Order: sequence, then C-alpha cells, then structure tokens
Amino acid sequence: MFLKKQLKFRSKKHDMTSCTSHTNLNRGFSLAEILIGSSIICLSLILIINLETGISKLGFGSTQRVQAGMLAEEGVTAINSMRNASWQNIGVLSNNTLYGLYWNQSNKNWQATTTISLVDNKFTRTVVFTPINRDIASFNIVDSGGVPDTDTRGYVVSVSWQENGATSTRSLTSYIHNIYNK
Amino acid sequence: MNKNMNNKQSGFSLMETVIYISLMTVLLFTLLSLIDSASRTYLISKSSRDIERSAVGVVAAFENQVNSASAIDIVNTKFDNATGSISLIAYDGAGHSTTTKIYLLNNQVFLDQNNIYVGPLSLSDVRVTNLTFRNMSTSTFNGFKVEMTIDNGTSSDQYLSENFYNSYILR
Repeated sequence: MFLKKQLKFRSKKHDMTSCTSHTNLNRGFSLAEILIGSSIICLSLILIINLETGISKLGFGSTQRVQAGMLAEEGVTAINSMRNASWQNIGVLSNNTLYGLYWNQSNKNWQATTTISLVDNKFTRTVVFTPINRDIASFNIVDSGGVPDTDTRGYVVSVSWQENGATSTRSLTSYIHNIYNK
Repeated sequence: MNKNMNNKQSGFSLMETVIYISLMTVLLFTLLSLIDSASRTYLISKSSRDIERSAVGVVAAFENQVNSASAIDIVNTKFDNATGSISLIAYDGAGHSTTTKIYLLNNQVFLDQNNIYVGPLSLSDVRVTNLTFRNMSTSTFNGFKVEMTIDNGTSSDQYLSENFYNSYILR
C-alpha cells in the first residue's frame, strides 16, 4: 500500500510516462556507485596528469643538447684558432689520444691538454686526432693505402654528459689542414 | 515491505561514510599533489624552453654577424666583463662599412646597427646575467669567445640557470 502510494507520488512529481519501469532510476546513486564513479574519474585524472608531466619532462634534456652542441662547435673553432696561430700547435699532438681543450685566459688562446676537465661540472669535451693518408695520384683522402699527409689531420670533437642515468654524446667530425703553412 | 523501505531510506552507516571519506581523501590528495607537481614541471619546462630559445637567438645573431664581419671595433668593445659588448665591422663590396654592436643591458641582449637600435636578441621573460667576451685575436686572425649565463629570474625551487659557450673566428 505504502509502496503504491509512493510510486504514484514519484510518477506525478517527475511526470514520468511509465512509472513502474522508471522507479529504479529515481532511486538516486548508491554509495558503491558514487565510490566507483568518483574513483574512476580520479584515477583517470591521475593518469592524464602523470602522462602530461612525463611528456613535459621529455623536453628537459633539450637545453643540455643545445649546450653540448655549442661546446662541440666551440671545440672546432678552438682547433681552427690553434692552427691559425701555428700548425705546430696541432702537429705536436699525438694521434688517437684523448685531449681536453681549455681557454688560457692569460695567453688569450685555446690549448689542448691531456688533463680533461669538466665544463660546468656537467660536460666532458674531448678531441681525438687521426692520421690522414692521401692517394698519390688524386691526392684524395683514402681510408687505406696512400701516403701519410702530415699537413692534414682528421679529428672528432665529442661532448658527453649524464642524462637520466645514461651518457649522451654529441660529436663533430672534421679535418684540419696546414693552410697557412707556418 | 514497509519496514524494508524505511531501512533503505535511512542513509549511509557510519562505517560506510568513514570508508568513503577516507578513500576520497586519499584520491583527492594524490590528485592535488599531482596537479601541483605537474604545474611545477610545466613552469620549469617553459623556463627551460625560454632559456634555450634566448641562447639560440643570441648565438644565431653572432653566427650571422661573424659571417660578414672582418674586424672587431676594439674601442666600442668591452672584453672580460660580465656586462660585455662586442662591436663588429663588416665591409661591403663598395667599401661601405656596417658596425654591429651586441651588448648586455638590464639583463637582456640587444643589437644595434650603425648605432641605431635594432631590437632584443633574448626573450623578455628570462634574464641574461652574464655576457662575457674574451679576445681571441692574434696578429693573423680576429676572433672572440663568448660566455653567457641565462636564468629564469625565479628565486624559488623552480630556479634555472644555464651557461652557454661558443667561440668565433672572423672571416
């Protein structure tokens, strides 16, 4: 009797067309439903925010890559400046040996040293020279055969740093030639 | 039947309410701390991008000028100073000279051409705190070394400061 009355009241109040089949809809949410619903929403938000944070963090290393790229370019300029001052600066350096480059403020020039120090406690910049052989007829640089050219050296400037627990490296490979012959 | 309905409408039990509030508190706390950490990450990543863009902008200007310049105007250049400036002279085919000055003023890097202000090279939302030039020139070539420090001007835990180095030889 009470149920019938209540159904009638609800049906009137909400102007339902078919009151009996919609009774359950009018009952509202149960505690379990609210809990599950809000948990799903919260967990979805947590996942989205975590993903967004992860994506943002991906860009963090790019400043270091720019810094390393500039340091490598500077390494090439440093070697050119050493050659411009005197080919002896390059000529005396051993092949396949790791050298560091440092700016000597009192002499105002770049110098190569076997003591490799960190730049800003972050980057290690090294340079390795390699001997060059040229073909006798064409004078082209060849990987095997030919005769040694003591007026040309190959070199690789590498800048490495720690990023997310791994070592990242940027390298520039080039040749340096005794163009001023001095 | 009547009794059953009454029970259904009696609301949540204390235990149910406590469990619900506890779970929601944990979830909301996690959510809020994540939002906080995400906003910090966003701010740091934005600052990092601005610093990087400023550095690349300044270096691009140096590379552009160095490609055309043949001499350093020593009189208007300030070497070995944290608020340094460099003045480069380029000659065109007709012998006309263009002087380009790149300098640090109020934590921003600016460019002047023939003593006329052209514009800033660094972004306004970062601070360039150091722009030092070192004279690399010898009797046979002209060149300079640049040391630049850029920070995001924030004094909180989101503070970022990065150094950029490069050297240039004039043609």
